[in-house]
Amino acid sequence: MNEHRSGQEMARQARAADCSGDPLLRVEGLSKRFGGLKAVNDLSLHVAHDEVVGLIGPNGAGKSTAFNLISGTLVPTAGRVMLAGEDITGKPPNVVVRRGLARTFQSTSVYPAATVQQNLLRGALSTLPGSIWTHVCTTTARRAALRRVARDVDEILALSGLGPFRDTAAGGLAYGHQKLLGVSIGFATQPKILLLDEPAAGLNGEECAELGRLLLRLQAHRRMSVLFVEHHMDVVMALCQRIYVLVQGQKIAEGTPQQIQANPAVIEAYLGAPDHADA
Amino acid sequence: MEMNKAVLPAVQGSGARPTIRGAAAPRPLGPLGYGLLAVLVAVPFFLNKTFTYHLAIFVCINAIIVVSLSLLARAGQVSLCHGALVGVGAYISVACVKGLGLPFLVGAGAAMLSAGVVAFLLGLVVLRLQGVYFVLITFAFSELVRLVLLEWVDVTGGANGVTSIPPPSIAGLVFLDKPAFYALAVVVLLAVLVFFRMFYASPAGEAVDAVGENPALAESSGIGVRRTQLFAFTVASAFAGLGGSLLAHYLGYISPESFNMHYSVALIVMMVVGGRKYLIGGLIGALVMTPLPELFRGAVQTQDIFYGVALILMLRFMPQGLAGVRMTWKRKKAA
Repeated sequence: MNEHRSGQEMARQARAADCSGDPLLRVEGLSKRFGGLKAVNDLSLHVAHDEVVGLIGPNGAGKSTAFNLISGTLVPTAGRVMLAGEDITGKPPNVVVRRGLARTFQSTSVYPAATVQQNLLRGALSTLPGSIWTHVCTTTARRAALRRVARDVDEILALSGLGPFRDTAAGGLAYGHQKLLGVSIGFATQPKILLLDEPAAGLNGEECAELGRLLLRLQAHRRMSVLFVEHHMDVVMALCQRIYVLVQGQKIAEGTPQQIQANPAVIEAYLGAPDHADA
Repeated sequence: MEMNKAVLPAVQGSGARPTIRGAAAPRPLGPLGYGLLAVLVAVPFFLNKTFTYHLAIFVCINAIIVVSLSLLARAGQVSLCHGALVGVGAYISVACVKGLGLPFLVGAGAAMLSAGVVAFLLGLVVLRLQGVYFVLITFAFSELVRLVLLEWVDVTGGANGVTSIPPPSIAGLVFLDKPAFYALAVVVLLAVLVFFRMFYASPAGEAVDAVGENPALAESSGIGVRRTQLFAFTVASAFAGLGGSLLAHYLGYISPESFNMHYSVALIVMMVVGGRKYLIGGLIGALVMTPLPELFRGAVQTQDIFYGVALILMLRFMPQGLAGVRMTWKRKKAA
């Protein structure tokens, strides 16, 4: 394989047997301006196959905006988003998902009135061939596809540990379980890469650990990359292979968790400048 | 702490919004429900009064139209032009049967097709609007349809409407007298209910409910919100057209004012009173609200006030409608 990247990445790419040497997700010069405010400015990042990458930064750094730009919820002012070599810039979310990039939301996002099983089924709907106009009729092929989806849903139920709540309305689940369900709905779309927006927000230590284990189980079940925004530093440091740091819409650092923890610019962004701390 | 809570079976309806569900998985009525339905259907035959038949026919037609309207509601949109689309179906059906001399079934099919196509084209343009903006546009469209029917005198007969519309006839059977037409209306209504029951259990129904419940999540899960709502709007309107066809051939007379905005509002009231999230809600709403104006025949003012008060009380005390009450009660009993 024709490798021209750092050693660490080469090891990862070797693990991803069938990949072509190009990263799965490549973001180039992504910018978003709201009036005079540069919410995201010239952001470039990449995520390799099977890689878990973190995006961190203080509040208001533009992390969620970056997510919205990558997933198609917002259209960027400038820049490109490439997924597996295909340009998905500015495509609406429901198209981006079908290309293999799914995202979850910062707040808990489930279908509260539907059962847990239905929630996952709705996540998996996009994997059915055809459009909604053809979903009404039942053919043999369609029934087979539906059985396949139902099997998928059962597997994800088992993986997520939400099996006991299969027929419970999602709105009746505990907060921690709703968060897990949100991630599982994203996984049900069979993404090549899953973008998680603060999946551990509001979770306690044990729930954070469970979330980490869930991600590992999901990755072991079906290959996928993960890019996530998170404030829980212990979660980020434990799960991520690489980290990008965003401050005021600008990327100020990238590297392994060790490199990031030792990076003076990052420490300054989080704790303020040590020498002239007059704030 | 939260995990401990979760070990217990989740508490239904503990939040501000009840987490009950009537929908996607087919929920059999149960023997009692089917028995009740059979009795209800049979009542007019036993009473055998012209007026009872008349009311029962209207209940059936309204139920068909309200059940279709709730499809759009479940996709997260409210339309103020459903009555106008009933009108489109009625006029097209009459044009086919009375004008061109085609069989009734062709007229009914043309009614469904035309109302569906009109809604599809309208939806293509306006379904990028959400919420109140969509409601306003559909209100404007409703007025547009009414004015076209009113002004295009050569084709529609203008304010005088169309008279002496022939009764439906299928394969030599003419549904002229009321018991016969009632039988036809019941069969069509049951067919529509069965169709929607199967629809809501299909992936398409699941997509519609997903979009109605959490559009942002649906969009991010690959369920296109606009496409799904366009689908719901088109299918709902096609069935509105079917209702319009039945209505026209039953009454034998139609005029633009039969399909004005007040009619659309009355349909929404029926839907909300019956329970907009439940298939059976359309039937319940039509069953409760259709005979009511007859009770207030002498005083039209009182009737409007009653409509308003009923709607306010419903929204305050049972936001899920009458069908919602039944489902909540069932859940409570099960718990």
